[in-house]
Amino acid sequence: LYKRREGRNLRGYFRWFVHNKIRVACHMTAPVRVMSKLAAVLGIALFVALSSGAGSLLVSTPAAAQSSNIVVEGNRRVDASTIRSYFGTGPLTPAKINEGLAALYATGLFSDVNISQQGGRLVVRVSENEVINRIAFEGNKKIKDEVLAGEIQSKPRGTLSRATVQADTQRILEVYRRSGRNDVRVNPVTIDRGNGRVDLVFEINEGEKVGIKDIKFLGNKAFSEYKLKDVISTTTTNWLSFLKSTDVYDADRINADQELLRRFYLKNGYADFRILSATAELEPDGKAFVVTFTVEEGPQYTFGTVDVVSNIRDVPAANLRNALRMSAGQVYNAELVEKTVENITIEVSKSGYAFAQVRPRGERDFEARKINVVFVVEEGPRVYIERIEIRGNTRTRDWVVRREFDIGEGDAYNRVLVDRAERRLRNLGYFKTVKITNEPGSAPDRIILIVDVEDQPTGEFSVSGGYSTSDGFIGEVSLGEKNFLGRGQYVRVSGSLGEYAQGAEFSFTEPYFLGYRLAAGFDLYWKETNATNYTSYDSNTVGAGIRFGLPITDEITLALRYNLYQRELSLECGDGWGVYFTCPPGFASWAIIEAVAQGPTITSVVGYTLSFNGLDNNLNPTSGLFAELKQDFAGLGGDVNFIRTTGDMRYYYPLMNDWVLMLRGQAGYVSAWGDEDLRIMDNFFMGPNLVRGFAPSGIGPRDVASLQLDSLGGTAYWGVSAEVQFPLAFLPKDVGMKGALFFDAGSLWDYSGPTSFPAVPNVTCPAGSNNATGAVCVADDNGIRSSVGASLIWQSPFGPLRFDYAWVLSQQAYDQDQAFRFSGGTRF
Amino acid sequence: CATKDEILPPDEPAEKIYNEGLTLMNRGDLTAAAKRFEDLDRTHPYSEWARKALLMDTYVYYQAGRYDEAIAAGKRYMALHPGSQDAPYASYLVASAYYDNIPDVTRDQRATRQALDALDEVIRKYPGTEYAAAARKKVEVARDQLAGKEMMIGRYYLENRNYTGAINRFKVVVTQYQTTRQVEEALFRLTEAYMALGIISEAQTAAAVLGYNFPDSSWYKDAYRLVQQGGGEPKENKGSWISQAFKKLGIG
Repeated sequence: LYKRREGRNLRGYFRWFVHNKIRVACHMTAPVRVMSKLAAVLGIALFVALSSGAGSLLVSTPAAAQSSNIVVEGNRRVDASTIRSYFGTGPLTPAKINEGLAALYATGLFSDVNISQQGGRLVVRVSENEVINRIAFEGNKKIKDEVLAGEIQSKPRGTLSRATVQADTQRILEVYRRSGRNDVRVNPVTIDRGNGRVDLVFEINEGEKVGIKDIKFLGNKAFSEYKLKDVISTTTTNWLSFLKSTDVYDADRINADQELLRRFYLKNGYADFRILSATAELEPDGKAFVVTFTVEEGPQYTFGTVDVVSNIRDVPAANLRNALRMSAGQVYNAELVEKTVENITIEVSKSGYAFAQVRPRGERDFEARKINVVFVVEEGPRVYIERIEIRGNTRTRDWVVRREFDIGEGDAYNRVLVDRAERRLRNLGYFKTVKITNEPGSAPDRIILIVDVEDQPTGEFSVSGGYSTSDGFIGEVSLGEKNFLGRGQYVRVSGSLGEYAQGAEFSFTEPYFLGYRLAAGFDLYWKETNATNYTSYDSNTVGAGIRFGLPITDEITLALRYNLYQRELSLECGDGWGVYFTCPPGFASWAIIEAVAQGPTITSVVGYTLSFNGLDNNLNPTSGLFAELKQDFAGLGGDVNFIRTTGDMRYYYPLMNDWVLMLRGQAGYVSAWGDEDLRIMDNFFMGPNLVRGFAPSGIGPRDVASLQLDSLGGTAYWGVSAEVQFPLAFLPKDVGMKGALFFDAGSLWDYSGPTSFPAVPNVTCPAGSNNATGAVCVADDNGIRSSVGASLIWQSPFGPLRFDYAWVLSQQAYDQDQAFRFSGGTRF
Repeated sequence: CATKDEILPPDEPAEKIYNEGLTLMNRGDLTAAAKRFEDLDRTHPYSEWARKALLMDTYVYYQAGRYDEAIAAGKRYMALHPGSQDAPYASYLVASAYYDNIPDVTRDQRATRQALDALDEVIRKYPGTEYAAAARKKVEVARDQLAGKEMMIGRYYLENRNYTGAINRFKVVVTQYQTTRQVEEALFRLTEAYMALGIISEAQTAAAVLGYNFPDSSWYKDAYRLVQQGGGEPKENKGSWISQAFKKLGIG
């Protein structure tokens, strides 16, 4: 029995040696030539396996050999006793030698270890690796030493390995290639410092940056090059290239771009879309690339019949038709098909069929250019989730990741819901990478979901500045953190300072309030505005608010809010009730003086916003509808009672040649309730935001008795706009300039505040006033104000800038015009 | 980019550098001390002083809270001088560095598992040393941490009324981390989850096992009340997995 066990051990030992290609030399009393297939193991008596012996094993019991019998040779810096210690104490068994060898190699200190047997002693001959004294980079300007040092595997005070240095050289080349330098040369050099130490120097010749000169599309008919360049992420080199890195050739980016193009076409009905080739050619002078995408668009398809077939008896297809996101005749859209699969899956699992699988089956009708889609619902394999393991979250809390899953441990596995969680996790922006994989669980019908995430910095510091005709120059500094303490909460502090305004704000948002997918937050704010050409008074507002955001569907959001704030107006000549005495007559409208004299007013207002966002792109929309309804109700405590309703709707429609038509309509109404009057500050003040070509607060009721013809604001408004935006063909697309032509019309009217005050003498009003006598003479007419004009819109590297010039077509005599308007601002 | 300090500093006596390192360390300038010990390692490699310096380097980095560096230095020490008398200490320092890196239960527990591996190594390689004894205590805490992670996720599912998910996590605590202090709460939570599912006999067993093993526990009082509200008494069902899990270890 004992012998048999020995034999088995030996075989294991033998295999290890061959596998690891470690040289073992044998010296025996009777010299036997040992072939590579043989291994010899020591002891005083040796046992030998001979290939000629047809695998027969001669085993004899090894007698004890002590570790003091180990002779170390070839070591220069590593102590012999250190090397000996790797073989442990006590008798040297084959297993121990085996372990010792492996451990010596694992130290990385030796390039070679050789074991032999001499006269009953074990001779260990080692060759030491050289040690890196320091690592230096020479000739690198564009990429810093620290970046390169972080990329390479060789470390100071580590051992020098030729293979690692070769790999490091490749990595450095790769880093340069990613930043667009393709003819970089890296030469690793070692400088002997004596004592087995070397300096490792990477000599780098960076070469020139090779940018992308042009991006071409071949075979595109339905979409212009201009539009397609927007779809992809690669850009061409221009004078702003120092700000970006997307203008260099990167094979990975080109691959990602192909995917973006494919998705874009599939979303727009081109189901047969193919990319025939995507090439990057170096110009003959070697200074720039030209990237060419050759595509085959195929015809545009529309949805033919769309239906659901259910193979689950208890779930009739009729119940699932509501989950369809498309209808016959609509342009085919692969994204809608995906969303429908998700919707139906959720619908079916609500009926208790958690394992159901939904497969879309498309059938092309080439003649009619229609795709008939049938969603087939079937029972899938019964697999349960045993555990959801979240890994790599060094910052973000476990539950912040876990709550994005609609399924939990013990639930039925459903790929659609897992994909949904993965998409949500990516969209959070907390992670650099998100990967969900499956591992088999403890039983065949169990799986373990592994969620690998990598946290990324989520803090943001921004400085923004801007200028607009109404607000003058304004600058803002803000600090934000969207994954506060890894809890997924959003915190932001900001302060702004401007020509006519300053303020500070703090806000906090919890995206999962009380464990529900409901965003809740609060804000604290302070804002001060000064008198300008358009308003004669200063204001100071301090307040706080709480808000809730409730996503109802992907597009519809309901937001609820409550705000409590105090506002105080003042005039240059005084504030509080003292203004009656300190302000010269006619300095401001009596309506404003009255408002100032009332001192601070407290407003307590509760409201909601219902919004629908169907835009294709929030920043630069080209198609879709955005609509918003807001209502605010003030008077739950506080000094002010009003009900305010506003609505805004914008519709974008793509025309030929990348022109975009935008139609907009807006309206609002505010009125007081109870016995209270509406305060002047709660009126609507409108200007170029309603009809361009007018000054800020330039439209609507005015006090013609005051010296400056103060605007009083109105209680009702409406406005419509039509705008055509078009690319400026003579400028390259990268400049980011667009032109626009617009027509605006609208009106603001109905000042409902008092026109006379007990302590103020009435005067006879001039012509054009609605009231004959009073302290305030209101010019107020609901006539249509309209204008036409042109704009220049620039998506500049400093943020979006907009210049408008408008000619007023119709106005009231008391309105104030302003033909030119400029606004813009950004975050740096 | 590499022009400065291209030439190695002229060889100073090893003892002088070592003492400078010690002085800096005592003064609290840990970064400078670490650098000095590293200089020694560089200028007098593999001397006895270098060995000492490497150990000090590990210690200084550990003290400074730079655990990655401490782990790297400690591992290097163990590779170079595994037979030296300070090897257990270096090994313990490495394990402690991992241990101090353990995050709270809401984060990834990779560091905890690394710490457990390193602590196990100290116990396995240097049994009978004071470091093995200290490591054993840390192992307890680290295991408690892993159990705490299971509890955290279990409670999450309990709050979300996913009782099967919750029970699975508490089951792991009861079966794999039975010696940690989390087991009391796990048994109570099992009572809670089984009561919510209406599996009264399992709830009674969990409460009974809890009462038997931790009669004075406040968790037991809560569990007792809960079972009583359901119209029963804690009663051990010997066939239950909870009962079995405790029998295996001879506790229940």
